[in-house]
Amino acid sequence: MRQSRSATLKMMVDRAPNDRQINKLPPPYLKSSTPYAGSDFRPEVKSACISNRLVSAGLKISKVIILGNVAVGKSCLVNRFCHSVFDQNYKATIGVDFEVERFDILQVPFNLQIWDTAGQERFKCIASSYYRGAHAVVVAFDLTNLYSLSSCPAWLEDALKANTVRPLVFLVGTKRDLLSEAAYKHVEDQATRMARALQAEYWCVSSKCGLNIDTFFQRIAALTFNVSVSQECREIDSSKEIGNGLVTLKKTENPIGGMEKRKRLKNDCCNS
Amino acid sequence: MESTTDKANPLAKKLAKIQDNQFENDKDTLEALKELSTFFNENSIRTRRNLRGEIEGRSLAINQDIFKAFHQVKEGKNLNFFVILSLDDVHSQVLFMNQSCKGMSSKLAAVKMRTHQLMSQMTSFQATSNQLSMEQMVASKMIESFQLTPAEMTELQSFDRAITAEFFTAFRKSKHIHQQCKLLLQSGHQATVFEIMEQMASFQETALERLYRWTQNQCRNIDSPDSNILLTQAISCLQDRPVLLKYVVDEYCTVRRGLVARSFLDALTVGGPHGTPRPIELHAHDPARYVGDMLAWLHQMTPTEKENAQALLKGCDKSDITELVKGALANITEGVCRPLRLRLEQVISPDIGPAVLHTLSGLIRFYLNTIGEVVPNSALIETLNDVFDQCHHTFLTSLESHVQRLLERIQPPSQDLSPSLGVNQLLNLLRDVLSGGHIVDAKPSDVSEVVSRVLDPLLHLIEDTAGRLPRVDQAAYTLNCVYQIHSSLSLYEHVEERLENLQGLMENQLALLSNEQATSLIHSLGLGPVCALLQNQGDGELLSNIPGMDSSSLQSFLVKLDALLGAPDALQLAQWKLLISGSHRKTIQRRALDTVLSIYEQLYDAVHNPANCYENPSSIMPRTPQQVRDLLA
Repeated sequence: MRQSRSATLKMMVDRAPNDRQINKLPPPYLKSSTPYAGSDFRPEVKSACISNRLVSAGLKISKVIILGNVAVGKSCLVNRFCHSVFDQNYKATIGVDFEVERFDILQVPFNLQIWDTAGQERFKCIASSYYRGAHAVVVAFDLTNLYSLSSCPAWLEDALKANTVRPLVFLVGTKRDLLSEAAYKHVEDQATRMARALQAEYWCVSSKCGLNIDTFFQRIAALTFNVSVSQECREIDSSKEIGNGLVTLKKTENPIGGMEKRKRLKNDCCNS
Repeated sequence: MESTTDKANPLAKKLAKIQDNQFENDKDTLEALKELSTFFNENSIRTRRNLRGEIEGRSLAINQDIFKAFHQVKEGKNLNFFVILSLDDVHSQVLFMNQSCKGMSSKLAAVKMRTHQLMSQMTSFQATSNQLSMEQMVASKMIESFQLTPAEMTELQSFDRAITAEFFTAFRKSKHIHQQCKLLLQSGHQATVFEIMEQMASFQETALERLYRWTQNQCRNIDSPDSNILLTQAISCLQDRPVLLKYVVDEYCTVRRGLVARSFLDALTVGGPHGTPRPIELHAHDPARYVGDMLAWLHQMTPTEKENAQALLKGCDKSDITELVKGALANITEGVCRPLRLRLEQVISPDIGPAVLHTLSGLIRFYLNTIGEVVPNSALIETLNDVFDQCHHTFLTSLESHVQRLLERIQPPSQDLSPSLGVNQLLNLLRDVLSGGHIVDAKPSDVSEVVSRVLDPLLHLIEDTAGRLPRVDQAAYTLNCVYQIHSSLSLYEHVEERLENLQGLMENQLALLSNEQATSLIHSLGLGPVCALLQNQGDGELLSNIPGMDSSSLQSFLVKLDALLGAPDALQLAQWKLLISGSHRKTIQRRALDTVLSIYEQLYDAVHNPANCYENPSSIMPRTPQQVRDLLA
């Protein structure tokens, strides 16, 4: 069996390309503007990946949704990352678009499903159906358009309403290339304040020149991976504990259970 | 000094040589001297002189002794205590030996003659043996490369063992052998080759059978095919038997179909693990949300399933995998058809109103396209198609009944000639429906169908009710209604043709009203006779002489005109004021005044024409047409 396992590993040489391999947690864009403070993967995640405990559990998939006002550059962001292209012409997204990116994180294959939603109001009823079960929410706004920043809380609220467990939240300002340094500083001030209010991690990117795009998505992938694997570890551990507990508790619990049962039986008899 | 004497004296040299000669080191000399010393007992001159004779005498005696001894040897006499054969004996014995040697060699020759055959036989055997060992080597090589080892055979044939990587090496080897056999066939060992091929074929058959059963079993309890490399390898091997592959894929699809259907029902009723996300049926009261969530769930399920199927079939290099994957996806998604259809059909009822129904049919069509790209020609698409048709049909029926109901409620035009309440209600309905269907880029034909289903009966009704009014009222009322419709509709796409149509309708009414207005203006300005006279001019009479065209009657017209210039709206028709659209009012006014202006122009020209002999024309008509035009503008 072990031999076949090692053969399995050997066969998995079709790896993700170099820029999709993550071996240490990428840092946030601003240390001061992130609720996710850990500087590295959690220890249990690391040990699980090194011991290959997870290989048998199948491919990991996480779902990311991208929200934001019309024409802030959501689709450009995704296209820049997934296809390394930037199209100057605006083309409205119809309903929702889908992309998947393969990563190798700590040598474990990991897929990021990216659902790029439409910003137009008329598609909202379609797009909102995709908010369910997201592991990460990216709320995008246009750095040159402060109105788009002000509508971010509404977008996030919609997304959080569809999820009972809070996903990772990112606030990302787009079109950085259109702003001068001074103008950007001013916008960044407001954006980081907004990020703090939304408990989101702040990023600024430019799809046109590719600024921060790769690191941003690597950060998302690594953080979602960290969360999902550590959750999986916890599930494995808790199931172990339950198993052990059953064995040890059996002695003490059984008589009580039995008594109760008998009692109930008696009651049943009485009632009948 | 001494050396010079040595050189000078050869005698001294000899002496030195004798002196240097060390006899004590020369054993022979010492022996000889010792022997010599036994010759004489006394050292006298005599003895010294006889020394030479004595030595020769002794030498002779010794030679004689030797001769005697040899003689004795030849005679064969016993001498001392040795038994020595005579030389003759020796001679005879040597002769004898020679003879026996000759005999032996001849014997040897004879034997050699006899063994020669044996030897040649031997060498030929040797050669045969070499050849045989060579052949053995070839044969073992052949077996190595054209036969499976017992271990490999058991690997391929024992049904109770789990499939491991070794199985695939053995399987590949048997396949390789089968292929190599073709090469072997060219060198012409037909019988053997066929035997081997048959053998390999039978091995492969059993192996595939075994692999098939294993794979099928694996497919039954599979979570994600990506994690199981052996499985993809197995699928790749099974390509050789398309039927088996199909069965395996079918099995996989059946399992996934069940899983997907179950998780769909879970998502509907239970939600995700720990209640995240919440169950979809929580929103069953909101049809658009409910249907949208269900279809979005299906859409989100397809990429994962597609990836799984691709992972399972990625080893298939002999056929087009995309077709296989499409088929598999179609098969997998079949499971959700029934629950989906059930729920959709439940939602789609005429009660939820045409607007919602239109939204739903837009939603369903959107997903029909989106999902259709991933799984074309599947039962799911068929279901969606059916449901879409049903939804669309229900929508049209519901729309029709709503329109009918509202039409019945439309009241005849009121005094103010504004569109009655029912018209607005109908337009609201149309707006709702069009906005609801706006989600997806609707087909122009659909939009125009919806529009005509609402507007055709409405326009008909308007025409009907307006028919009972006086002509001008009818035109104003129709214009108002059509204007309302036009402005409601102009917000939407794909209605250009209808808008043009409405525009034409309005144009007709506008022309009619402008005419009426112009007539009324001419009438109230008292221009009627002037007009007629101007037109009939030319029979030679002077205009100033014609009654009604004299300067005093012109004066009364000009007074009225001045009043009009002061208050342009005063002489408008009553209906004119009831028009909703300001631009319409303006158009009608403009056209009517234009008519008046052109008459004024003609009149002005006529008055200022000296041929008509008006006295002092500029005092009669001091304003040029341009001035009047500017004042009216």
